[in-house]
Amino acid sequence: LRGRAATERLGLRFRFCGDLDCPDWVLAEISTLAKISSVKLKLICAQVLRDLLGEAIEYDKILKLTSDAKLESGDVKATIAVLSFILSSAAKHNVDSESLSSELQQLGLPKEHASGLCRSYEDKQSSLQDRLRACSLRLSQLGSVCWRVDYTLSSSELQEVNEPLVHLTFNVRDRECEKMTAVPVTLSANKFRVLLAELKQAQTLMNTLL
Amino acid sequence: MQYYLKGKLNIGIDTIQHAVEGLAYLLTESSKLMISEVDFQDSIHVLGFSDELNKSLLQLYLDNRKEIRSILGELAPRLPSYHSLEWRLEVQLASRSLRQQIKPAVTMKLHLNQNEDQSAQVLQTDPATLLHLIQQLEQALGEMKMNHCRRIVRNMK
Repeated sequence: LRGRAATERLGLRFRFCGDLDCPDWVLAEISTLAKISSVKLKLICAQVLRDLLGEAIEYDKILKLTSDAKLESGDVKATIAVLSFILSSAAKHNVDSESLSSELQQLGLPKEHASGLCRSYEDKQSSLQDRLRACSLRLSQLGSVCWRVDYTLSSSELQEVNEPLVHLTFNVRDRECEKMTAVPVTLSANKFRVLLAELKQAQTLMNTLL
Repeated sequence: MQYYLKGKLNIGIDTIQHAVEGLAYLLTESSKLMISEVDFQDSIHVLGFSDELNKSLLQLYLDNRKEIRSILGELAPRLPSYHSLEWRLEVQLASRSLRQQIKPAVTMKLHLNQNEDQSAQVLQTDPATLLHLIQQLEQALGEMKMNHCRRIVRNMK
């Protein structure tokens, strides 16, 4: 409660909140976190990190770890929610482990709890950021490209055509429904050369940025 | 279910169907209008059933009206509602027709919910239009604080 009055009066900004005020609910739940022992809190963090990294969360383990603190079921969920928020928001804003620890202590989290939490965070910070990067908005994704070169010998229009033909199939993945759509394209040799030249120019530009 | 009832009660299927429909209509109309116990009793009295049956019907109405009302509430047509918004900030540096550009844009994916259906709308805008959008939305929020809105909200409570 001392932490709450301080932040409200001074209008303190927190880096892990994106240089904004700490949300009220986070402030409220930090006092719940203090009820759990710091050792158990570190283990709960490990579970929450698993969930954030896309692995299965072991809810039973969390229930066992919180049983000592005699939390109600609503509190357990709130604990998971506040830890998820702190860890993902810190990763989002690229906050280093020491700054996070100091900010959490300013909000009233005891020192051992903050160090435990931040040590778990530090171990997984770059994996977390990689995961967040991969989950960022992306409309579609090229899965693979298949190609085939044919040679047209003759057609109903002209007896001797004798031209090469390139068939391309782009397999595009829609991000939402994980569905692959095949986009077939057929090009003459000249068109294909133009396409290839343009894509090579784009590739050169991309390489200057890397 | 109808065949089950027919076997048990030895009545025609049509009769059972009418009975079920009649009962459903009675309960939904009563729940819809939220009529009082007295009014319900008066209404079914006209049908000339036994006292015991009237009592059962009344109990059925009282036990289920809350749930019936909540289901009826869901039946109103609904517009797609906001679920979440994903966004990203990007810069176009070059295109086939022009190199050496700097063109910032914000791409958004608006996730909407409509009666259990999820849909998504992709939008893209430049920063100036985004600022304008934010201003408009803030103005809309600001309307809630104006006296006119306040008076209406007070009266609804």
